[in-house]
Amino acid sequence: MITIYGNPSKKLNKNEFVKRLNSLEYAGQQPLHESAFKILGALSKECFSAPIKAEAPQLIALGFWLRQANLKRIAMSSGVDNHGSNSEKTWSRNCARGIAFHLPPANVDTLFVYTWALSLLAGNTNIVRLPTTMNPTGTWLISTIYKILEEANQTERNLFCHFEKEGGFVELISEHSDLRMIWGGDAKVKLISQYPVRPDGLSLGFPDRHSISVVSEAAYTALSDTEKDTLAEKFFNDVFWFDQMGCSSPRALLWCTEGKRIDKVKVPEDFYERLQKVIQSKGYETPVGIAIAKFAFMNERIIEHGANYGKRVSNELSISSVNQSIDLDISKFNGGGHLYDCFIGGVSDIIPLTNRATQTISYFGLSNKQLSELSEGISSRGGYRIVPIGTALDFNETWDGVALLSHMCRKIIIQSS
Amino acid sequence: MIDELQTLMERTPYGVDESDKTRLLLSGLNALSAQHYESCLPYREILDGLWGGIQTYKSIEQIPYLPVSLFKTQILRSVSSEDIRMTLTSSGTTGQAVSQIFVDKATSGYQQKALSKTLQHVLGPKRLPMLVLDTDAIFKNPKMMSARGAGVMGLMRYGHHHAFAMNEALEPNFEAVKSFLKTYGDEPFFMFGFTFLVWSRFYEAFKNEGLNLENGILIHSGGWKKMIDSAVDNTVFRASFARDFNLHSIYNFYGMVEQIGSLFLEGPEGLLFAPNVSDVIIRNEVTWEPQPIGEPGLIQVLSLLPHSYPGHSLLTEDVGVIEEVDPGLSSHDGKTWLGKGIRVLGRVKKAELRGCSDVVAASNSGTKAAV
Repeated sequence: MITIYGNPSKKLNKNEFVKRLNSLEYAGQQPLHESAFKILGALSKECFSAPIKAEAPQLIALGFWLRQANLKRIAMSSGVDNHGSNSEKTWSRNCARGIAFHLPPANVDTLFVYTWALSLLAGNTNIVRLPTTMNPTGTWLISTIYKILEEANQTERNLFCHFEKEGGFVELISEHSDLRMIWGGDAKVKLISQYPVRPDGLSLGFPDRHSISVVSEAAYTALSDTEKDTLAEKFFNDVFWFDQMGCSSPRALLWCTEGKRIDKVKVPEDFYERLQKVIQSKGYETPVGIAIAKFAFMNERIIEHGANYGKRVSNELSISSVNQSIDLDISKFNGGGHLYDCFIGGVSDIIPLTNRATQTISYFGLSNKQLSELSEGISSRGGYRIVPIGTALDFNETWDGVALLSHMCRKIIIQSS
Repeated sequence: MIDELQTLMERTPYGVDESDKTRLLLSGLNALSAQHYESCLPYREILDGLWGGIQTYKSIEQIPYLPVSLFKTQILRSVSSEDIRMTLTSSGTTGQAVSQIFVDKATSGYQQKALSKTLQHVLGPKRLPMLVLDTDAIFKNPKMMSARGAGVMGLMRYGHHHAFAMNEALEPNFEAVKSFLKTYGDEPFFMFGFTFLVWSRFYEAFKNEGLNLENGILIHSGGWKKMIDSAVDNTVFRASFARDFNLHSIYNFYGMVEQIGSLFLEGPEGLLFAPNVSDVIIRNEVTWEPQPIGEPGLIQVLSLLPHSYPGHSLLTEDVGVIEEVDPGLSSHDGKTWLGKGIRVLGRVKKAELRGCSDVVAASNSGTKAAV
């Protein structure tokens, strides 16, 4: 059985759903249609006035991203806008791909909105599979989205559903899909990829990724106390939203020394003390069961020679120090507030640590020259975002190196005679 | 064995007051920590990496502790593998890793002796006829035993003329029980079982048989968690056995395979008392600092028994509270109980971090998520 969200929700068996699939309207939809902007604009407003927004800062972030100005910017830079004047012999028209199937991850409650929103802008008809258990943020989002879609008469083209993975619905929907977005780690991508989309369809997988942070020691040391505290607060957001379980959540903090001799104990200690203060001031608490798991993890890392020292700062924060950056292995991981801490000489030391699983490198105090050097060095190795600390978790329409909106569209090439 | 262990084992069980015990334990734990630091490389690396290296500790609260789950993922032993006589494993739910405890001949001897002394406190000096409230089918390979098999076999040593109350399918063996009681029921006899089985397979199965167990001494362990659904706690348990079996000598105990031999036996007020060779510290769940008496927190157990593996100071995933210290003579059973008495409040809640995938990834036992 598949449950299609609605007011009320509808339960359909496979045969009934096949009929529904076959009747989905996707023909003639234009990318960047005004109705899509209206829907997302309404959603943006709702996010800013959501009753639960105090407990869900990611809703504010979503609201910002859904602002008209931001969406227009994304639209203009994506190359899918059809409104340019074409006076040449050959021009193109962007159009929707057709039916888009979205499988968002379980750990980031707002992500299903980003993937759906871009596809809506692209003009696609959408089927979004919601996780079976949704937290209050997700629940609020889905009911709000549905209300807006109802008012815009777009509920037939945007189905949000629940279904078990057994039952053949993944296979069925994939068969009909022109686009499929699989978010949620290697195992999930592998599992879902078994089922083909349409022969000319596009299936994009977003597998296991992990992320790190880099701080220039000199730049940090030069900060005033207040500025250091501000940086700690930004880092707190990057680490603790989503309990450090997002792909973009930093797992390691690398201190870049530029070959200078520095106090390898005092500098990180100073930063982590400030981070702990932020944790306390925000009232962020880690359940003791997870704190114990992190403690056991720190013990294991030492025994397995993946770390040289460990320190439990609080239930919320544990630090494992690694002497040689080359020994850093962030694939060994325990979320909920565990950081590897390490020293590097220059940004070039980040390159050997970068592989296909590396997603976000967030930084503080690096110059444009260093950013260039870094991006050139990691080119083709992995790594898809180099962004300032504090913005690690921001969603960008170019994700994991893929310009999403343009991939969600097709082009018709027209040649005049 | 270290001297302090010898001394404590020779004293009367539960006859060492806390200040005396603390003095001896501190000395003993310092010696053991140094011993394991020398002989167990992973232990040394942990002490160097997390605890600032080996020191002479000034109080038992300062003794470094290992998280008990570490024995599930790491090989931790302080003797060579040839010297290992037995590898004990903990029971675990399917899919979970189990603890591996490496016991050499010497440590095994200490464990048995300590257990014997503790049991004598409630069973008396003589070996008693024993009715095992389990099945004899749980003895398989003696080299690699589950906690239940090891537990039963270990305790069987302290009784004789063994009879088993259940058959292989855990169905009641009325013959065996009635025959045992006919022969031995008029004198003190010993019964042992795991709490859940004692209730569901012995009490429930035999309650209408009119058995008279007034000379029985029941020792049981395993926790009340499994019986929450039937709403059976210590009070209901005791009342039921008193009413339907005339059984009044009942002793619950708390222990773990990681410190096997160190049994916390039930004394006055239903509290569980640390035996001579052991002690307990309660740590605040947020700060992990030692709690004052009466305040609940994480249970840390200390024992002088583990010589072949670094299990002498362990942070468990149980929550408890110290309610009494050195209560003395108990009106409940006429015995003297000294040392710390704790109440076990349950397990730490197993919170889970949601991973990316809403597909259960077979290889990854860490982040299990909702589908």
